[in-house]
Amino acid sequence: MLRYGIVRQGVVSIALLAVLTLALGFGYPLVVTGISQLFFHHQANGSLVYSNGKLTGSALLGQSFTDAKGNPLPQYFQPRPSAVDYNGAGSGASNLGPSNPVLLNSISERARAYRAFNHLPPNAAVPADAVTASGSGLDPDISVANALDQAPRAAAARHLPAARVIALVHQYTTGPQLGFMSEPVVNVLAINMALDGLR
Amino acid sequence: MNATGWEQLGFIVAVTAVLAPLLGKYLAAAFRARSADDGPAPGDRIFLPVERLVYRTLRVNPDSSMTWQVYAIAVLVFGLLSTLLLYLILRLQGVLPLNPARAPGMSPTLSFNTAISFITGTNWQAYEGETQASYLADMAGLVVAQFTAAAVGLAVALAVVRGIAGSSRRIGNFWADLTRSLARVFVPLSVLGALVMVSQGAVQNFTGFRTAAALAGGTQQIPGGPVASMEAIKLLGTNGGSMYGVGGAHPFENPTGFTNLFDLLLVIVLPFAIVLMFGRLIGRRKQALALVAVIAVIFLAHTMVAMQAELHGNHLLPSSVSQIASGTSPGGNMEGKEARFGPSGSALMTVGTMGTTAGATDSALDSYTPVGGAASFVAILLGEISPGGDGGGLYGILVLALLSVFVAGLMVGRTPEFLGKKIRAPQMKLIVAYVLTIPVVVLVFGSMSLVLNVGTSSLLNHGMHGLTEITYAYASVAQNNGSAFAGLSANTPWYDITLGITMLVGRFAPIVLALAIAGSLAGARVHARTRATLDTAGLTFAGFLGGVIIIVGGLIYFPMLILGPIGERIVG
Repeated sequence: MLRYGIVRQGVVSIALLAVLTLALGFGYPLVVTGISQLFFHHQANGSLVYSNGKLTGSALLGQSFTDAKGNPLPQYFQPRPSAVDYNGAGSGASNLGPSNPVLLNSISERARAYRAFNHLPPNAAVPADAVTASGSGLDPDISVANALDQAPRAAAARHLPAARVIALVHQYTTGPQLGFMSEPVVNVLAINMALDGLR
Repeated sequence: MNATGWEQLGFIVAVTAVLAPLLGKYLAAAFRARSADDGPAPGDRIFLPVERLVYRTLRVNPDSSMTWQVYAIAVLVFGLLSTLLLYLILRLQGVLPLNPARAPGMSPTLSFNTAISFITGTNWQAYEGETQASYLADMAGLVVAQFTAAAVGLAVALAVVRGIAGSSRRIGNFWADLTRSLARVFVPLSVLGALVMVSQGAVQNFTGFRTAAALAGGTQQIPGGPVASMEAIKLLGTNGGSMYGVGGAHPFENPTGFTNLFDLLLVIVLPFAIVLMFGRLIGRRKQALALVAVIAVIFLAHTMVAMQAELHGNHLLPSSVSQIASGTSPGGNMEGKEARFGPSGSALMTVGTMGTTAGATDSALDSYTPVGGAASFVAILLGEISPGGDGGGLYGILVLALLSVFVAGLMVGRTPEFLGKKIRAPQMKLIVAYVLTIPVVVLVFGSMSLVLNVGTSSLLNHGMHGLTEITYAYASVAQNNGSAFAGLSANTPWYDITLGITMLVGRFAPIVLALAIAGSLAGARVHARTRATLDTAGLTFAGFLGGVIIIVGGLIYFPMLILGPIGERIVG
């Protein structure tokens, strides 16, 4: 074994690990952090959103719009179902398989609740994103179809003309990025803050 | 596939077709054995002083070339010591600084699993990123491992190329290959990639959790961390391990449609470039193009099947749920997917990385349709060569090419030779060992988990989907992919230990065998090409190689696929 120089290779390994831990473990992330904080301060800190000087959330993270009992508030656009209840200290998907009865039952139940909450006819088609849990559990967006279904209900709860809220949906629709890179979506926190500002 | 899907896929293909050859040219210039009159390689003025400093610190002579045995020993010793160091960091993170989430030290079995996972480039994550790993463990432990795993892969590939094609008995210096890979490829490209991601909204800070007063009342925790710097090498190094539990689905890692495509490009461009570099290093660019053609066809096949399957949706959902894509709704199977990516963008990024050892995801594979999930599974089972991990993809496809040469030679009754060197019994023994090691480990541990209570009690989904959950886990870690059907609760002593062993075998057995094959060909006589020589750069050989890949990868696992995803699709 000696002729392969195991001890020698071990010594070199330890020296290299020391160098790399310093250079890549500390140097690299600190350099990236420094440049990011200098040039992309807003993004690097989580695209934070403030209202009246108080931290309200992040433009990139969804949050729930429910009362203390967990019931959805009709005056707000509702985000997608979340496997982690929009708890930013974690993240997660349901991981339920496509044929799992638990998934199929909860999707039927969510579709029924969605129609009732938004005063849609009992057999109305429900957008897929409205009744499925997202990949992160923190999806900030909903589809435009989902937002349009919710707009009249949010308008009624605020005693606003439906047309005004529908116009707001179109105003807050973003994407597709550069024409094809993403799906057109509505950011739920952004449009709800805009709703609060209407009156 | 719809228009959005075609446009996104077209964009990926076009950018890869432009960037991979340029990067391949750069790599060839950086790694070609140089004599004084070659002139400088690109960037020598910056990189050479750094490299010389490292060599002086390590006291190694970068020009002292190693035999394959010494090279392999160096890889193994370095791997063992890095695993020990990472294990210690993970065990002790609770008492070390930079731990805003107050993550306690990981348990012995979880540390064992996680340390091996990152050293082997698998990045299987049995822990919860947000709460169970400190910033220090992420930066100084896991990120360093992500850099070295990538660089070791590239170094081994360079050594294998020298052995297969070169005229010397010696195949290069491991420490020099490692240092040059890091200095000239992985570090500069990671800095660049991280900054692009931050500009789109990926976070990069050290603030820990912030508490926000949510708009509708209550509070929300907003996570932080050096996320983008890890994300960059996670992808570029075909590693796949993220700071946050859900990886690329998290808006702080993958905020926009642009970053989604950028992430995929970071994963696949370099492995394609490494194959093209091979063509330049051996002076036969046509040979590399033949390999790239096979790789590209397999990549397109599994990616497009998944995109179509996810866009088509889950046929078991009630008809009143609209899964039809339109201008206002992405439609499709949206369970476990983000609205901004939609079904085809999600499948493109997730299944697009499955033919590499990255296995980076932006959506929950466990909730994919059976066909979409099977596409991802098949990409792994074919041996991670579409386009493969950094370096691993190249030596993987080279071994399969040697096997194909041998089979083809037998069929037409000629002595099999590749690049002018004859393939004989000693090489074939090593090649067969290379091809069989991983299936044996996967099928043995997979079958044990299916019959033992410690295996089945971790399942979230039962029946045929459960079989896929378990077998996918072993296949994924054996190929150092690391993606998961994440319903499986994998942080149990049984899974931590058996998956850990599987990763070790799946990483180091192929490395040692590939080096041994290269060593056995190093310095062998190069025969001149005659009319009787089998053309290994033509379309016929490329088609033949594709067939061998499908037979070797597909047929070994076919019963598993029938009982898993195919059965689920037919019965479900």
